[in-house]
Amino acid sequence: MHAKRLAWFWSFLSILALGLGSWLVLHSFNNLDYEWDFAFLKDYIWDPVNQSPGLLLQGLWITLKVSFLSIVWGTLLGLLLGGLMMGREPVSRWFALIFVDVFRNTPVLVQLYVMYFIVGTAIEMTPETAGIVTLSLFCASYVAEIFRGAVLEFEKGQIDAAKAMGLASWQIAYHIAAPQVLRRMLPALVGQFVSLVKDSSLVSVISVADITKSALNIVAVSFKSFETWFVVAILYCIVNTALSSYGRYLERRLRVG
Amino acid sequence: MIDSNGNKSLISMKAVSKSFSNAGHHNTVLDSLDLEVFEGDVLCLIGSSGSGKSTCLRTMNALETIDSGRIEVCGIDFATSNMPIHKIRQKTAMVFQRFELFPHLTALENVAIGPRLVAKLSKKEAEAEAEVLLKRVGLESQAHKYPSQLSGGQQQRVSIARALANKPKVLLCDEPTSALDPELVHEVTDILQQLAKEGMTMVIVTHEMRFARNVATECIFLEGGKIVERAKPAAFFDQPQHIRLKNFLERLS
Repeated sequence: MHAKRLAWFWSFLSILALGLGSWLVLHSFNNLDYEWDFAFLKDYIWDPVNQSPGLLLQGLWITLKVSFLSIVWGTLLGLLLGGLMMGREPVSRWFALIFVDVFRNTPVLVQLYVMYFIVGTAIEMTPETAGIVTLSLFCASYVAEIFRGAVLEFEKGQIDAAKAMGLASWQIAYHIAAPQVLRRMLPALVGQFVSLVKDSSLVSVISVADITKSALNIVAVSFKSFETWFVVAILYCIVNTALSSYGRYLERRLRVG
Repeated sequence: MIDSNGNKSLISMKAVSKSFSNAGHHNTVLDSLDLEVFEGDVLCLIGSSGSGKSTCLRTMNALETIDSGRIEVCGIDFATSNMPIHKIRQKTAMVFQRFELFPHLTALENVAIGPRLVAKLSKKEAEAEAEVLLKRVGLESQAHKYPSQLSGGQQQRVSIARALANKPKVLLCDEPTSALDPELVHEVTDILQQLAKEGMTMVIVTHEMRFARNVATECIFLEGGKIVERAKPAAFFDQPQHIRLKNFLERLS
């Protein structure tokens, strides 16, 4: 097959898909009998009465806080679980495997309900704490698998080389294994974090005042759901684009060989 | 222990045995093996695959465990000394068949990491030493390349420089040329021969018979985890005594 013709064919297909998609969207919007009004959202971004951040910015702050804390705790716990999964000690290995399976294979929504309404009632947790705990455990189960995958890919011969050199175990872990394993984990890890930021919208169901909860409240008052959700989508998009761009920058900087 | 020329024993293996049990099948890899490596020796371990020669080499720096027997490096017994294993390993260095360079480090950093972490030199001092060693293996111009950017022969030369960086008493080489393209083999054997000439004590597992004849002070033929024949290279290759060695050498020619 001729390489040039192949390239041209894919360009053509992409342009065709883009054209069809744009036509469909424009056509749909044209047919929609709706008065667009984004101006009213200004007050929800900056509250002119109290001269303070409005409902949307307050919600964005909670979303950032919940996501950030869940990512940090989830990563730490995930590395621990991944380590146990690869360990030789059978009880802790089984515990880690079952934990990961339960949290990966059930809906986060159900996990949130159980954590807040059942566990949270028994030991008194605020909605925000319950949300962060659930998302951390959920995130941890994915990080554990990502960690395990990266370690399994690691070339074991290097460990022999490092041992033969007379390095202590912690030196091998810190100077040889960690930089390579982290670099291998990075693309999947960033993908997981981006997903988590979006999944954090589910904490609104246990009435955490995140950006999705703010949007629900705004829609309830203004009945302008299209405008509200578009703006919310753009805010999530900005956060996640920043996150994945930083991830790609790290990937380039921490190149392996 | 001291040999007839007054040289110290650097590695001493006494009645070393090791076996694997696999699905009821019992496989003896090392069978009550005795071997002494003295200062200045260049020993070539030769034998067919499965004869135990690589395992024998890898027990010398405790990369393989043993079932019974004793192994001492510079008089320190791996099993009974209170010195941690990694400290004992610092007296030897190893060159591997598949190089095993660290892919996230440049050639220079691969060589410098030993002095930095073992001798606790500063980064600057360690890299200065590494530059000297890379020059010695003819790779000063490749110092800032990553292993994946180097040819097999170049990678193995970096790995020799890395092994020398910790100033080992003994250099262990595990089939150092087996993974190389035939035209690159001499790059590595030339350097090892030069090291031998400079008096480095070495134990080399190899399939390159011409190289073994040139470099070795003695050649050792292993089969079934036992030393079958041990002789100076000329006698080893020209007048093999044992029928097994005769057959082995005939199959090669």
